Amino acid sequence: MDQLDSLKRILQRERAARKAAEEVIEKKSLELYLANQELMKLNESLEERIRERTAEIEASRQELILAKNKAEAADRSKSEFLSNMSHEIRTPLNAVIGLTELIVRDSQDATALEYARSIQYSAENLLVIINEILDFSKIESGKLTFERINFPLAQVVESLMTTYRPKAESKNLSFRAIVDPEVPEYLMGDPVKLSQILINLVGNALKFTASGHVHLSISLREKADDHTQVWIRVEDTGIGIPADKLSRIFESFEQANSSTSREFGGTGLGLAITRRLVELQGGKIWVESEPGKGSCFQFVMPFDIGDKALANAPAAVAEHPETDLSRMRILLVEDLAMNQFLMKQVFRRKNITADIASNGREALDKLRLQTYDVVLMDLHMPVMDGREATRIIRQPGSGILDPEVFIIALTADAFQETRREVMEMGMNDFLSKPIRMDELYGKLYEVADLLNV
Amino acid sequence: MKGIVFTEFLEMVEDRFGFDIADNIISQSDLPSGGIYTAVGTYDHQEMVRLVVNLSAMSGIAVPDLLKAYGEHLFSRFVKGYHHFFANATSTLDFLALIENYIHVEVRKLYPDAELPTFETVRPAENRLEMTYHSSRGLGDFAEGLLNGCIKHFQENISLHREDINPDRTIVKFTLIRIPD
Repeated sequence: MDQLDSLKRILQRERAARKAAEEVIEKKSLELYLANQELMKLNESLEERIRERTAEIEASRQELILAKNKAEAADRSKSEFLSNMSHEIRTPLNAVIGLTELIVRDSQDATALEYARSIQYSAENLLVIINEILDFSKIESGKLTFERINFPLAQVVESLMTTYRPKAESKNLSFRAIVDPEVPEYLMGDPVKLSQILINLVGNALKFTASGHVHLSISLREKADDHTQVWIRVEDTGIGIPADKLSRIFESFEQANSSTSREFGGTGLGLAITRRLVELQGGKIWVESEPGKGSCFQFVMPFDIGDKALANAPAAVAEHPETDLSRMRILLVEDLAMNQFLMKQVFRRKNITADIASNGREALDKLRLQTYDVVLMDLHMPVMDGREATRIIRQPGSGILDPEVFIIALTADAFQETRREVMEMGMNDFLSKPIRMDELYGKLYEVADLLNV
Repeated sequence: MKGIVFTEFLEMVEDRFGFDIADNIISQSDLPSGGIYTAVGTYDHQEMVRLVVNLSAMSGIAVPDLLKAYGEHLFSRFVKGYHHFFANATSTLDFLALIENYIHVEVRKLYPDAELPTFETVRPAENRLEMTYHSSRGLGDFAEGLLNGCIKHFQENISLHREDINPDRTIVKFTLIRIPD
């Protein structure tokens, strides 16, 4: 009996122990559960924060993209505005220049001739300014590209000297170009852009120099097997630039001081464009100057060494007085009545009677009815522009009697890119407005020779 | 079925019917668990069915009566072991209304896989509570016993009506009406 009681007590103790253990387990389970819940909550809140931060980052990224797009759009519309305005201004200006040229050629009256020459001079100046603005907007919008062709440096220098010699002579300045014999005869690069840089620097030097000299010197900074660093200096004995203005002289719309523009004119864009043209070709431009003594603008630009054998022979535009242009069948495609009138006068001087179409569609109609020797095609026209018309003319099965007809583009801008573009479109040649009579006649003689008209 | 239902049952059998009976029904029931239970374990509910059926046979008490009695007993054990659930409940109807959304929630924290019966409760009036028991086990009698235990615990004057909604008693509706003193 005692033993049974003992067993019962043992059982009671064991049972109590088991219950205590179960309680501990439940307590621990609950603690684990709660700890787990905490972790899950923490995890969730971390994930939530990551989601929030990600959303914030994404939102600010979107805002930045939006702001960037807005800024770019604003910049583009500014450039487009400049480009369009320049174009709008050039169109009537081209008529002014063209008609003035007619007066200058035809005028018998000395006073009228003098007036006409003044108009011509002012109009040419205005054209330079507008071209600078157009160039600048093109550089700013990153649309400028550079040619890479073989060219003789001497030719660039010679045509520069020819352009400016009369001006230097009129001011009694010593005007010389010194080219170091070490400099390769042929360079590989963009001669048009190099001319543009030189025209600006030499033009400025002549403008700001009343007496003394303007000297252009070209030498080498560095020469390797296939490339060089050409060092070009334009030195004058002009008014000079104060030291505190030197650093800003290459900025846009900057001139040495505001009286400069009153006295000497200019847009304040010339040097900014020049600097960009130098830098975009991997060069560096700087200036040394002393007020009252003169300035020396200089730049170093890399060029690959060209090869004379690969250079294209310069096209000789010769007058052919014996060739009769009057028998040429010409179609002028031009929308502006003023330009049509101007061109008619230009044709009349060589007894040419040309057909006129006011837009691309009219041109196609005429080309389907008869053949022409040459089509002078304006690019910007309503209804159908020159690009589209050319595309259709060259396209097989368009019903054009002579799909191979010689097409000369008439464009408002003188950019190399435009030139390349019209050639790629299938046009044969290119004339930039304002149309210079001699240039136009030269092209017509070329075509006449080519076609044996 | 949670282990506590087994451990408390066997303890009750030992107390009320003696160790011999308890040992006997375990031996007769041929239990997969061997009759070795802990409150924190989970066991096949068929084991409980066998134990109750064998106890009924041995004691001559009908199964429903045994289940009711055990339910009432188990509730008193709950009060002792889980007194924190009773901390905020002061009346039968208040406490029962909490089962589904409080007590069962707490149980699932400890035993996420627990297969608990569900109780739909509707309280159309302050003194009336309608509870509908749903369980595939069909242990309406056991539930009734638990409810009785609860009424006893709070020492209130409450009438309990039972209505079996289907023959296998997997759905049973209880209506509790408190008669104010």
